[in-house]
Amino acid sequence: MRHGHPRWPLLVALAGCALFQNFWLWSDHRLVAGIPSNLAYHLSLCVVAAAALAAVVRWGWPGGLDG
Amino acid sequence: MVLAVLAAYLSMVLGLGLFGHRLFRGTGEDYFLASRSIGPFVLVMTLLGTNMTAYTILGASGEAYQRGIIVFALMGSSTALLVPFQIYYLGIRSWQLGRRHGHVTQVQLVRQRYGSDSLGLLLFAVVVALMLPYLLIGVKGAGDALSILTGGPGAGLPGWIGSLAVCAVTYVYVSYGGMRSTSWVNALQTTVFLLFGVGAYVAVMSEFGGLESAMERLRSDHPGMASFGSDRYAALQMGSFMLLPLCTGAFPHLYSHWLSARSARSFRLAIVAYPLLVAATWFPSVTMGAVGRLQFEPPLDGPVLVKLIVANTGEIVAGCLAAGVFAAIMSSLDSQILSLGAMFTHDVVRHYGLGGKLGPARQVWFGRLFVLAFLAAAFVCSLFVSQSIFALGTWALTGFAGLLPVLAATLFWDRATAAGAAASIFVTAGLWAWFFWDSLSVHGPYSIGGTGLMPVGVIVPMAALALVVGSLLTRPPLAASGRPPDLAPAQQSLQDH
Repeated sequence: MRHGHPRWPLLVALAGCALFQNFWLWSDHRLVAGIPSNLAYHLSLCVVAAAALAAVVRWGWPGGLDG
Repeated sequence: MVLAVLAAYLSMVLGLGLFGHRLFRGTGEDYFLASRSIGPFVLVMTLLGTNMTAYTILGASGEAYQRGIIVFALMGSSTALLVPFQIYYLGIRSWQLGRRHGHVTQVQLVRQRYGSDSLGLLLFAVVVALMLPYLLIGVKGAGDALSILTGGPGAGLPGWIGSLAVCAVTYVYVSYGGMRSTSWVNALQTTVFLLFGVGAYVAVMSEFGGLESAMERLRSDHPGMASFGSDRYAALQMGSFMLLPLCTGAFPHLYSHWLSARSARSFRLAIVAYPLLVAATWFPSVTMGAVGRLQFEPPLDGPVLVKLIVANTGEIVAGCLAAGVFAAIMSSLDSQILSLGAMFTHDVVRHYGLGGKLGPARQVWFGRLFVLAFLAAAFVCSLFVSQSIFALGTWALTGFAGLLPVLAATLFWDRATAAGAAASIFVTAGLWAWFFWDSLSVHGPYSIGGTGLMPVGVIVPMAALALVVGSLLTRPPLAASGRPPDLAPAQQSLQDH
């Protein structure tokens, strides 16, 4: 993209969307760390997303913005 | 005691909002965008606070009371995943073009990009129409919360007092202090909400023997609420709800906040911290809502979250929660009405010269009057609307999500044309109206044909398709011939303040 944004963060977003669909766990009733497994999974997904976004900001920051 | 705490909080908010006016520089850009001076901390708190509405607090907990922990995934983690990427792509690009061309509203961006007045007017009309239900949930939520906190329907204060108080306080500090006051108050309110939210959460969960004990009981008493289900309905619901957070990129009030950033670097903290902050707000809201099912049998006569607090904590905690709920509501309401005022002032009054010979500062008064009329309409509607906050909010968000393809293409796709954009907006408006009409005959949660597929799952793909087909079937814009779209069509900068 010639607007300064790299494309690879889009792939990160799509990977997040794929991970969002945790169909293998949907009918699971177990508790993990004191909360339902599905809730624990999606909470973990938020933490992973923050780490991935830190990488996007570090290595995928569009150039020439503040100049 | 509840009222005393609440009154003290509203006074503090009002004071901070009015203090913001002392730094007012007397220009339109300062009023609507705080002279593009907002730093990273205030920006992240403002973006979170603006997105954290009655829908998040009262709507999500109410829905979790009905359906269980799946609500966290449907709107919480999907928001945590998708919104930061929208800030990264749309927010930064909007900020860049806005600073270069002096944009204040999305309509200005669209008008300049496509060189089409009527397209701008169409976008203005659709955005304003969608803002009514979105704004309404805050006004209604404040009334519902105050009524329950003071004793419940019949015994407590009537709901309209809470609705009116929120409208009045918010209108005063937004009208007086503009974006600077709105951002400061948002930062304060988001902090207050997070702190009081944690306090209320600990207090309530301790009454159930802790989170693990409460979840164990939920699993044994209501097993369906502790999992997502594995049928086709759940699959379609998860797939389509995933698209709902795309609404954020089309919110006019988020656009205003993006443009108020001091620099592109100011976005970095917001992008990284957003998923964690979203989880920190949605997790307590959803788990408390689900746990509410252990204490209250349906049907409920008010927001489950407020009922839990009143039943399990003392009056001071209840008062603090009331402040937290009002904080969540007002931190969105203020941004919404400020952006509405900005849109009316710039996209209608100034664009069509309705202000005559009045200066820019006087023209802002048209925006203030428009907002007053809009708030009054929302207040009146709140007295009669019976739909749940979650349902109302979902309809508003669905419409905004349908506008995202147009706004994304405006920023990134050179081949997009005015005809394609108009087709996309018409498809969004038409499908939205059709599905809404269809939902009126359905009792309970609505999905298309009862399959679990939400309207947003059809509207967003169809809006994107209409945009692409409409654009490819019409003559390429000047930008596609080699000039960057932000420079074409060649028009003078909109910086008129």
